[in-house]
Amino acid sequence: MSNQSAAVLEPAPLVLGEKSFNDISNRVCSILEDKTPPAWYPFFAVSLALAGLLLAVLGYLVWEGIGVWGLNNPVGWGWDITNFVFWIGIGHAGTLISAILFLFRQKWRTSINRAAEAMTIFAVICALIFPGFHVGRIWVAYWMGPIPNQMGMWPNFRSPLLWDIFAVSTYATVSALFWYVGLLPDLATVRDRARTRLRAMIYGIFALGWRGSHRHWINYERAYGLLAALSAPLVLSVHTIVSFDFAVSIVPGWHTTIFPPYFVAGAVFSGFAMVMTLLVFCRQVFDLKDLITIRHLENMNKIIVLTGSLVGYAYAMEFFIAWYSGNPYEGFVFVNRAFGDYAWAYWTMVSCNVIFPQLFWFKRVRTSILAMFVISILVNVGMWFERFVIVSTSLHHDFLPSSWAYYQPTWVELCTFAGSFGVFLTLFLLFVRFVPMIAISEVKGVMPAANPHHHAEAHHHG
Amino acid sequence: MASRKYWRGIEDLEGSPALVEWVQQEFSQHDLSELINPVTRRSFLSLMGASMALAGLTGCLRRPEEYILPYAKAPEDVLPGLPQFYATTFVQAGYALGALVESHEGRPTKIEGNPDHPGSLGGTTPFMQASILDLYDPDRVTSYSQDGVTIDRKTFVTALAGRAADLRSSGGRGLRFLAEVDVSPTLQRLRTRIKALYPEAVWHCYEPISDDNIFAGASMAFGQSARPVYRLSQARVIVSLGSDFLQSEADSVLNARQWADGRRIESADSATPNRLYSVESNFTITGAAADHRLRVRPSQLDAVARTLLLKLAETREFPLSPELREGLGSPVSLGEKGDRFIAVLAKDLADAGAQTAVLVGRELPAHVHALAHQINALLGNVGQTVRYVSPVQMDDATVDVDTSIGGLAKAIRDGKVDTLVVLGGNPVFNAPVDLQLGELFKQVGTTIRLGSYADETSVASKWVAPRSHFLEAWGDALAIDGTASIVQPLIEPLYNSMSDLELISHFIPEGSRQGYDLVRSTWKGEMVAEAFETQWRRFLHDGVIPGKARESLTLEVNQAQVAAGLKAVPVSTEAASASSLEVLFVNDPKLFDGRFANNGWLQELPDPMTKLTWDNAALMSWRTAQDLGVKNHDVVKLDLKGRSLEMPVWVLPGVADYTVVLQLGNGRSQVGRVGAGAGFNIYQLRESSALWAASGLKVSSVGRVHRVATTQQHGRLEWYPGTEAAPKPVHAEGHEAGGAEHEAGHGGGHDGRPHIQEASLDHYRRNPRFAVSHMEHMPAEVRALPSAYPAHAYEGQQWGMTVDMSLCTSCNACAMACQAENNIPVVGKDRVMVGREMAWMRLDRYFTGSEAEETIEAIKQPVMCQHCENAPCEPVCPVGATVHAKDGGTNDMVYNRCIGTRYCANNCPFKVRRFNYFNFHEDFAEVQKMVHNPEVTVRMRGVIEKCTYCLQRINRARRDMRLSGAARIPDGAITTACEQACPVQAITFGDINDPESRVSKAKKRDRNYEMLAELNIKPRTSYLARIRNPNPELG
Repeated sequence: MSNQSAAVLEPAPLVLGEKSFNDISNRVCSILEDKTPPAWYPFFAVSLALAGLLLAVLGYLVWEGIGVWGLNNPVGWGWDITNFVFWIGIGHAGTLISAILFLFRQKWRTSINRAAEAMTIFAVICALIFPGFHVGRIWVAYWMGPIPNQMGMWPNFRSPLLWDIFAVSTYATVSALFWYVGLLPDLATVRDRARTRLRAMIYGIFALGWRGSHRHWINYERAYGLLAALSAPLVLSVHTIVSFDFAVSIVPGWHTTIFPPYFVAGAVFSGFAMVMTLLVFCRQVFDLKDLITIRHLENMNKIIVLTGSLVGYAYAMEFFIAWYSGNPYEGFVFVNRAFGDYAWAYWTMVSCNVIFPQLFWFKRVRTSILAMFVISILVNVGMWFERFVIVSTSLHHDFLPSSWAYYQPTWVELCTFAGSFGVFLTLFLLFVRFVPMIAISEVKGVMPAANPHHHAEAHHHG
Repeated sequence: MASRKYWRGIEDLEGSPALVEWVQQEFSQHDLSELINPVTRRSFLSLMGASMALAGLTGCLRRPEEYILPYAKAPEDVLPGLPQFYATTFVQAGYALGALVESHEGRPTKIEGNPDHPGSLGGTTPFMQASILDLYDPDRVTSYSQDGVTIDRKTFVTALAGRAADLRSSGGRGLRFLAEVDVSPTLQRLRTRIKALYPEAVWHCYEPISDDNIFAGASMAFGQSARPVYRLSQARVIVSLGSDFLQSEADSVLNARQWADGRRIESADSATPNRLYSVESNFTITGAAADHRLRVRPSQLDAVARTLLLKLAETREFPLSPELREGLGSPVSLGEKGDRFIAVLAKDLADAGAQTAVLVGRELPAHVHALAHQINALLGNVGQTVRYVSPVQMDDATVDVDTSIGGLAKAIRDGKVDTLVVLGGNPVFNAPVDLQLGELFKQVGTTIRLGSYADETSVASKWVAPRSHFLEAWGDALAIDGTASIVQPLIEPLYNSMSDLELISHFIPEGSRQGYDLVRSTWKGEMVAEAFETQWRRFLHDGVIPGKARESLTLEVNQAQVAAGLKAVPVSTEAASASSLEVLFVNDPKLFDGRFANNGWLQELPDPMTKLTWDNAALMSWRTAQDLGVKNHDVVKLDLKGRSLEMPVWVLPGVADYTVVLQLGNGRSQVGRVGAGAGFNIYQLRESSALWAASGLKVSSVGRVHRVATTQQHGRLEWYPGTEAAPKPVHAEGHEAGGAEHEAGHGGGHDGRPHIQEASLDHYRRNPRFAVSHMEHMPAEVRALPSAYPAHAYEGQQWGMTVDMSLCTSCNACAMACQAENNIPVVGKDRVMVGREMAWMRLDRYFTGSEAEETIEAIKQPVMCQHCENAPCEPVCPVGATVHAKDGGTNDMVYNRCIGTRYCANNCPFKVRRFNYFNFHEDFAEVQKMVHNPEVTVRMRGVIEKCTYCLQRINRARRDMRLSGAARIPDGAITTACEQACPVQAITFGDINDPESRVSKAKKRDRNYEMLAELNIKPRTSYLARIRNPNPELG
């Protein structure tokens, strides 16, 4: 085998610029150790203000009642559940990248998994706001939990909302554990590099006494593998169960068996788009071009075009089944989606989710930073609209025409949604500043130098 | 130093016009200013409607801080917690309805119909149901005043007696009374006495919605005033000439019942329903219930009546005198459809002979009534379906103009009035506008007003006394056929008020001033003295005084006189166009003449046809609106004879073209907090010379929009030809209503959806089970879908309901009864616009046909919780707050377990679940809380509520059953509020496990169907499909 042909077949390297292990540590840790970039402050201020706005509007909501939202008799859920599904979906990319790609030994995941997992956790936090606060009497929302009590009450295990609670809480717990376990070696690295005692102590506490011994590494790898195996089914189960909120009901447009796979595909789709938006941004701002390479981004774009096509297939299949089943109620709902009062939302969804991602079939688009940034944002918009279309258009015109109504949000709902972005970005900005946003130890593991068969000199002498 | 405005929080700024404007621009779909302004919202909401019975909660949760004392000596017969029922009489504009009023510990909470009263047979009207809210209205006048100074009752009475004594000495010169139509024998007795004491005094009588034309028509036909009383159950063919006899006419409760009795259908083999033809300008519920409807402009109704008589005379050899024939003139063409309609109608009437009835609306002039009397006489209906009785009211305003309100105005202008006593009514608001009564009031030395509210008339009056509600006062009343009943109070007057009787008793020097004594002495005079006490107790108990119904009068139509009347009014041949429209004034189906404008229940009650709440609008047909270039919510300027009014447009398909229908009663300027700002005052256009209809109306758009609130489809998806997919005619020949083999859009109902089932009689006879044919055509495995969960046990008594859509007229009595029984809150116009009305029971209305073809029809469907066996709401609730009752099988809502996820409401295919978006009963005045039914939980914010099948009534019956040791609750022992209120008895409730119960039998009928049965939800409420009885000759 000639060296020449090997060079052609080999994929682009995952780390560019002939870096040493030390270079990697320096590059990633410097984001934490150097002075805060001036640009960080205005971003953080805006995010924090939005998060504050969220608190304010939630307070107003609890004080006055759900009536401050625009919901009405037929449309009992609106932006609240739309946002819940949107945020939960976003979280999926993190788990998929860290767990499933790990199990499939996709080495390219290493540069992006940390940020993606963090995003998962923050997205789940944002998601939980909405089901929590959308109930009419939040002060008794704990009745949904199976908490033994003197009132003789027990939750109704037939309700998909209850399944949701278990699914989402499991998901949040496992995701947080997985993320934290993966962080341990890197936290220890930051601790070891600390120049002040306080810093060393704080990171030391969180590093749980990691010393990098062989035993540590063996336990770590085992725990990581186990958690990855635990997380993998969650990627499928969480959004499946979220989709049950709709699929188990009898509302035309909700009651469809395609929902579980359709929701999972949509979740991965939206999650990857969000990871893309954030990483492209961080990559430019923190100059991580060597660690988050075009190859990484291109791979992600391939997943986006795949999941986007799956989603497009699901849209088409919904229409087909609505017609093929001969169920006139369902038929009406889909015609109404495309041509009714919410047609604008439907076509926004279709163009953002089905049409624009198809541009990724072109390598030039797939590797263009600007194009992928714009398309990833469009996909985020489109996936939000997908949830809105499912929730609102199905409810606003259902069985009896006499009840039909039009739903539109109030400023409170707008501010709540904006505020959830505030929480998300605040957490994310804190994350990039205080936690290594790239898994140092894992990136080192996929460098050529980590390969026992690696002979740096061989090429020269070979 | 320049003043600087500081604000504490966003609330302070929220009232600012700029912010309100911004919000409106931002969310122009709904006016959310109310919504974001908690101050307005609270005060506004809390003043209305039902909710919050602290009384019911005091036992367990909240105790008052003050000392509370138990009954030291319990009143006799009062068991705490057990309601008592008393018979009394509800009187509205001279029409008495028997009532049974539920009272909890001395507090009346609910008005029901008295089945023993021959004038109503237990049926009710929405007004009667809602009138209990007026009793507890905090906006009522609570004190006496003289020239704006509050005085105590004693001072007032002394001043009044002094004034009366002065007037007596001058023979009553300058004394005038202005009262409502008077059907009280006691008042009539007192009036006779006053006439003797004050020979020069004049008693004027005014009702804005009066039956004057009816009496005048009788005078024209018979030479004496009389009222036709119908027995519609005997009629096979009923013709309404502009008569909304199912709702608006005085005797509507009885007429509706009898119309329904002639329409009840047991099975396809035995079905012989009557046939109703309606010729009208407005689209009334009578028109919607009709088998054939012809829409004509108000001016054309005269021609319709004349032509009908001519055709009848042609069809059969009817004796018409030459002068009458001459008076009728030559027939006027009403277009192809109209002429054919009348020809067929005449033939149908002639064939049915004496089993017919022709009814004329009170809006129509006297000579049309006279013509109807002639037609009824010719057909032989007199003594069969119609009889005549002398009017029960003492006054006949049109006959004697001096005693009319016009006579009063003239007398004031002539300076003849020095003291004016106004009993009730609201003449300054609702008198014909040309009289300028408000101005004239200023010329009267002393105006003494007895009124419930600080309304337009009270504000214009110098002395004001609070008037007792009918549940606070003694009285008596005659139903239109003369049946007498006692008005028995249930509660001591809340505000030391007085009744009409008590006020005028001060004009009589001798005798008692107490309403009780006044009424008793009237009836004492009628009875044998020894038996009186026993009989009196019986009257009070039954609510009816037997043997008082009037004898039928034997009357002959004086054809010459009718002919003279006809000649005096030449038949109108004027054409109407978009530049010169006709106008028809009708009473508001919710506020009547405006007297209920401060009643939140009625303000929020959807109009039976337009579904509008909180407003009235200029109603017109789609064609008219198109020609005028206006659409719903557009404000137009109405110009009529030099007067003008700006108000929004509402398109009601089916109104006669180039006719604007205006509902009187809304738009009050001096009203309580509820009615303020609601609607537009139509009386501003109503003149003495044209009380009901006029022509030459000009309508111009003013380029503004006033959004009105409708509960159905929120104004956006109203179906108009050309803009929405046109539903197919429902009972077209050969058309299989519903049915799986049909394409979507071609089913049995609106938009092809099978939840509405109706058919022509002919189709029904050929396909008795047409209502379920869409289910029967489904494959067996689809029909017998399995449920994921085990079926509920069917043990003991299981409750269910049927609603007969053939009978339902959508009069709204049931919806109002439900609101009163179940403490349902009123939410306000803005929340209705957003779509958050709370009514548990709604009357869905769908149009069919196409306006261009003049075949538009409407069908109504009462919808409340259907209590499904496989209720979709039950499994989705995460906390099990809505569950299937083991005992009875109802779908129950556990309010205090509900956390408000609204998942159940989303999953309810009937959308009958209602969410408390706010706390709708914050800051209720103490007096308002008294209206609440203590047997029904008041719901807090954040929980779902819905129809319970009146669970409290089921429980009461169950308790009685257990106490009595019986094994079962007997059939009929439980009457739900809607069932009780229904004047046509369209609703049947009972035990579906008992094959002998009325409801089981109803469910076995061939036209029984369940709404959305195809979802396998197994509703407990089922519907009996509507059967129309069209004349095959009209196609």
